[in-house]
Amino acid sequence: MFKHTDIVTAVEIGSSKICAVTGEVAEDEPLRVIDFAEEPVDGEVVKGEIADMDRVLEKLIAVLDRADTSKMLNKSRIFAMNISGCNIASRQESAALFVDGKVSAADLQSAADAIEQKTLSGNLEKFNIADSYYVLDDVRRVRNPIDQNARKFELFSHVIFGDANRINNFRTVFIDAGFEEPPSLIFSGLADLYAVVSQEEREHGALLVDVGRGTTEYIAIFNDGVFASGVIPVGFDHLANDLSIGLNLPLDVCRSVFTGALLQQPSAVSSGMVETSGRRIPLASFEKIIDLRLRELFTIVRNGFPDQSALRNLAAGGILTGGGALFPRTAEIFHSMFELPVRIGAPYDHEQDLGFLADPRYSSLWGSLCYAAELLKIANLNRKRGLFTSIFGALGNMGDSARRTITDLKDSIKL
Amino acid sequence: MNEATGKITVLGLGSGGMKILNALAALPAAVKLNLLAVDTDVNTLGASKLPESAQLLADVQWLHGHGCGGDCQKGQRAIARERDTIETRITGSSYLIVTGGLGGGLATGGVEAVASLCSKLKMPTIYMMTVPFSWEGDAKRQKADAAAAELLMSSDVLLLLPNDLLFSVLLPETPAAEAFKLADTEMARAIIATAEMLGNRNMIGADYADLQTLFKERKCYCALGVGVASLAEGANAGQLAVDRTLAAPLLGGIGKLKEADAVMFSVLGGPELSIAAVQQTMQAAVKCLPENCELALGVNTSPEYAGCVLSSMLAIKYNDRAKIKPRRKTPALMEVEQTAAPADASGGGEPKQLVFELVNTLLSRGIFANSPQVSYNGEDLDVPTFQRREVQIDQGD
Repeated sequence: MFKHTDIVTAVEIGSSKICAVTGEVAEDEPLRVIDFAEEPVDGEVVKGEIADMDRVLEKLIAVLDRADTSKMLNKSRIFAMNISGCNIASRQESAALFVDGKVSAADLQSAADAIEQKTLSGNLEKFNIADSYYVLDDVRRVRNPIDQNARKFELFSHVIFGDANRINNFRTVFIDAGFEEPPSLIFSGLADLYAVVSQEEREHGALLVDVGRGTTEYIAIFNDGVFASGVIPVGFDHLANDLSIGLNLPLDVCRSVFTGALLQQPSAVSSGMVETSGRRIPLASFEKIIDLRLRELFTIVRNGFPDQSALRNLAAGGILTGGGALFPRTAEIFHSMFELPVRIGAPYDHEQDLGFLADPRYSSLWGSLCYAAELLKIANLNRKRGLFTSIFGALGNMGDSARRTITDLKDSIKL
Repeated sequence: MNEATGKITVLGLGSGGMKILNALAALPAAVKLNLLAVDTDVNTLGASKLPESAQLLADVQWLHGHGCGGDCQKGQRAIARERDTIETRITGSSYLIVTGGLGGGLATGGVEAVASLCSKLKMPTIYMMTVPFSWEGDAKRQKADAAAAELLMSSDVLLLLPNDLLFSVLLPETPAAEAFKLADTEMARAIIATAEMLGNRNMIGADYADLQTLFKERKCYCALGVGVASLAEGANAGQLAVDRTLAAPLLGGIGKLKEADAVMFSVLGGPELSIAAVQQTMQAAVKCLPENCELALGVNTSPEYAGCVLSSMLAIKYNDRAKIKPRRKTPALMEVEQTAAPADASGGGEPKQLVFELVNTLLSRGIFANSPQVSYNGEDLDVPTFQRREVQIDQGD
């Protein structure tokens, strides 16, 4: 008997690579990866933002062609794209309403709509809204407000927004690649949550830091609600640049410090001198430059928390992901700065081996694919039962700019 | 098993560190410590009373047993080249105390390399560095300040003990040589007191964690006094110990103590240490302290201190009550630094040619020159952190 299958595709336009992965979703079966393609980036994307639309478009088309999506036209498809960039910021917003008796799903949606409709100053656009927590009668903080008796209901949400023009560049380049609808955008840090953070970690509280080539994204979650996130326009290219300037070395040699084992060579460790490019450079010089930059980076992450005591609630500790997490010193410095236990987060799936995708470099991509699969699940529910039409009217237009991503449907979706 | 296993290791850097270790070796309590003096000057090491096993002549291949001549870069390289040997000698230590005089060559340049090694080994380390007398000149003082600022970022516990404190208690006619010797002896006693505090933690703890809390990322200057009194000296041995602590030259007198922002006070006695003696000692100490200072107290006993009471007081004066802020760069600053050319690897007898190198202190954005500038707290994040912090980098040979 044939099973109905749908296709989901995740796209990433990052500072180090443009890549796409296509997956197949069947009822009661895990998300299955069908195809993957990747193109290296060479200056077309800087600090998470598109610097050369034409070259990005070329590479995106090449990647999407190889990811085989064009052959699946007869199937329903959802596209998700994770984005980053120094224009992206976040803030906490709240909405309150008086209810009569029990809090209903419609009440929750009304509060969510109120938050969504709050306008931002300037040319800013909200593109992800995640529920943080709920408060009943000003005092009771609950995980799920539905069916709780209360007179007043407050929703606290984490709103992620960015410069509308720069965000629209991602949509435009996708449409220029031959698609009618723009993809559903998801903040890279939020996508990482889907990919690498376990349910237990989400409940106990964790700080996830994705150290990429051009930017670093962080996101903090506690009790299944996001309460802080941000983008720091510093990535491992900054470390390579620092080494290049400080030690007068070619940039490719400096980049190889993080991907190769230059600093771990037995001769370097025993003599304290690194032999490269025909020179002998003290190992301490490398370490000093790297340590200074990483400490500064994590200090900025720490200062991103308006309430420093919130970090103490993160019982599950820190999770490092992204290409920068593969460099051993990153975790050591994170641990000394935050005094939290730390692990390296790579994409995982309980039901299958992800193969080469189980690499911290692909966390955001895999997370975006999971996000697309979740969106598809909601869309199918909507189509079959029509139950959530009022709640998810926006799903008819997957390119809707503002979408509640985390706990829209507590019963059917888990992050 | 390494000699250092389980012990507290004291690492003396440079001639200053060597003198402190010489003074330390003369104290009976030093037998519990693993000592290691590192210097590049063969003459300084030759004059040392330390056993050869506790000495390490650094970078003999390149410096041929000569000193660093006050050149921090030579000091940094010398320690970097001995990294493996130092690692072997300190591995297994329960704590490491690094000491030396800032403002010279080996300790000033090398202490950062030691910090990097300790960070890699995840070894709890206390840096007890002396700051030069003010009459030793501004240049030396600035060098010491720069090294301290750099070390502060990579260390948890940095005690900067200004030699100037000695003036507050020494008579003006004290011979200079005696002043230096006294500084070394007091530093040695302070190291013993710190080691005892770390090694004996059986009652009220004032330990490494307390030191971390008081010092982490905060620039400060410290004063440290140690006093010992025998129970045979009378019923008020605790009070006597405190009096002697207050008279200790590196504490700088009660006047300085009253200016402290934080004080760590610990009492160490024999197993017979009574609650009355503890109370007496604490009361005597606390009444000398400023009202609103942060206070960490510790009381411990050890059989080796039977019949006596040792009190130690560490007074801390923060430069700023807030945590340290990064130093700001002044782009206009251009400095010419005289550096010695690296010696020939063959070690030939050719005299070294001195070259003058223009240190590039201009801020550079490198590959980010054409990308939009992103500032954080007024700093351009595309500019390397080491340039914004004015940290010197050794580019090697």
